[in-house]
Amino acid sequence: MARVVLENVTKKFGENAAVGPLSLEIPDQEFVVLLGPSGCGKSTTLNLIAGLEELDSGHIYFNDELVDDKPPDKRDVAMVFQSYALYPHMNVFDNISFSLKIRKMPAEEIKRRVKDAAELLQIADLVGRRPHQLSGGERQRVALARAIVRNPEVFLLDEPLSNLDAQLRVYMRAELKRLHSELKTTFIYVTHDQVEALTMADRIALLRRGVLQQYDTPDQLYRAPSNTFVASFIGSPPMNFVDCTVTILSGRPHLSTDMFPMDATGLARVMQQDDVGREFILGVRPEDLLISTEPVGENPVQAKVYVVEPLGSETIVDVKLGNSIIKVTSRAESPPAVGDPVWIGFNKKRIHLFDRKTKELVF
Amino acid sequence: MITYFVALVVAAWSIAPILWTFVMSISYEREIFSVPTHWIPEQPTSYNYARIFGLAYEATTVVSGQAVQIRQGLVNSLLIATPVAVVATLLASLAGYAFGRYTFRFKNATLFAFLSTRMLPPITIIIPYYFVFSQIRLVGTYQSLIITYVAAIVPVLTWILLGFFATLPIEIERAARVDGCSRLRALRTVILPMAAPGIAAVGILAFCLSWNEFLFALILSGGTSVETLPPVISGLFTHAAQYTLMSAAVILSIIPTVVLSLIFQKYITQLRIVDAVSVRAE
Repeated sequence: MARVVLENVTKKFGENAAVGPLSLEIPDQEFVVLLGPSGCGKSTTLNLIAGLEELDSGHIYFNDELVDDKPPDKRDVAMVFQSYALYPHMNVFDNISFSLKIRKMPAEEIKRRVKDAAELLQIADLVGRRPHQLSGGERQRVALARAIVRNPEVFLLDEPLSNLDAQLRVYMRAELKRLHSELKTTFIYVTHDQVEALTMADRIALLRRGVLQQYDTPDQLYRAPSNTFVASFIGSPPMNFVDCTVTILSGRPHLSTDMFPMDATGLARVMQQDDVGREFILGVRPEDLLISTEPVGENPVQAKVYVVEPLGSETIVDVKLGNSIIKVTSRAESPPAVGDPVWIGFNKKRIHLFDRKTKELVF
Repeated sequence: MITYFVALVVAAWSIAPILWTFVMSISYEREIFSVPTHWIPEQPTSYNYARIFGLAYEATTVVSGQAVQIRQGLVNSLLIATPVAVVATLLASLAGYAFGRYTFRFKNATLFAFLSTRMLPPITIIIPYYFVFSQIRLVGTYQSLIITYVAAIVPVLTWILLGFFATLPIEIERAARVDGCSRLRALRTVILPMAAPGIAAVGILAFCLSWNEFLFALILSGGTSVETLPPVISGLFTHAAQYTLMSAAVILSIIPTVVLSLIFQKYITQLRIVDAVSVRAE
């Protein structure tokens, strides 16, 4: 059980800074996800925490103890890799017990721990097999068992579900959550899949090109994304963005886009005098928009249906507003057809404004 | 169809001399000069082999000297090629792992220095080489050839193995480190067992290279009690040549390398194939 703190951590590969400077505090026993697109430095960060890569600068602490110079074998972390990394020349029992044998644990204790871990992960009848005789899901559970028997201070998981098929992935997400609550250990989990992050994390650290964008609960990342990158990364389908400027129309502040004006009264923030002329990006999620054949919601505008993507439980409708395509999620029984004229309605409480230059959230 | 025919011709062209040598080795001396040629001997015999292994009655001392020489040459070759294979493989495994897995200062310069020793034709250094070894009184000893072969073969094996080690999945090494292994222990308990086929293959290669080597063997062991088989065989081509005995010696000299290569051919060809443990999604 450990609190992990990263302080101004950087890692370069050649000229490029893969990570950092990055500062992060991961509370004890929490499930923290490092999320981001490929190449954002999340796996590198995990390797730095494990001690598999050396820091270029900054410090890492486990429970306030500096671990910068400690090699991985001394850090008491357990890691599950994307490719499972099972030892091919050993059977399942030997794979799981390997770390315990190195620590010279008594044979009886080893047997007991392996048995418990195997039963917890329902692989007890596979202990005699070799990795090449196991399916992907079974290998992954062996990799998990190998990590669990250690009772480590921190669990590190590097995209462990990426190589599983969709159904197994959904099942294992729930299993991992269950494991976390049973083992009561700090989990640091790396993924590029925001659905995994949103469903499993207590807290998410969203990274882009090695720089932390936002570190918050899934709910906060969804409702109050700190910039347009976070807003577009979290949520599927992604948030719609429209450029707008604050103008005065009929004596009242409006957000003017090249497709429609929107009365600024009723927005989550009152427009100030010096906001006039300021350039923003208006962000609104597809699920926060209303679509109908009649004017609906606040500030309804007319649009034309461009593409219809049925998903079963809902339909994603792409509509053409002026020169832009906006995505709207519809739960209607009979969604509109391509080319139909429709009305799009807003919910002013669910609109975000980002500064057009800094891309950061204003509200 | 034509490809098969051509392949057959080429194969026949290559194998024919060896086949004839084998035929000679199982014939009596007088029969090989028969006209017309007896492609299959009418009186096949194991007499030549028996002589080499000291199991037959020798008619004259000149003749018996040759058989003893061949026998001693076989033993010497074995006594040299085996430790060379073991030592060279061990050293090359460590070096290959270091070069294949790690980056360090002067890595490229070191590797180049290592491999550049193979860029010199051996014959250009043979004279100073002999001088040095005779100064330190190592000419005519097993050590001289063992040292020579290890020094010559390790760079080649390292070059092969560094490519091989680089293809081993790094995550398994990392898993071992996280599980509690030091670098050396991870190498010993996890990486080397995974690399075993590649290491076995280069071990065979080391054996074959030192078994077949002629020039340094001739210079450093020729005429001494540690003379290896290649110079021994070449020394049999005298006015007192006994072709059937020589043929038996030649056949015996190629048996170990052929057998070893056949047994390990699967691993030797696998050196060129990347066999990933699993595939990354990205």
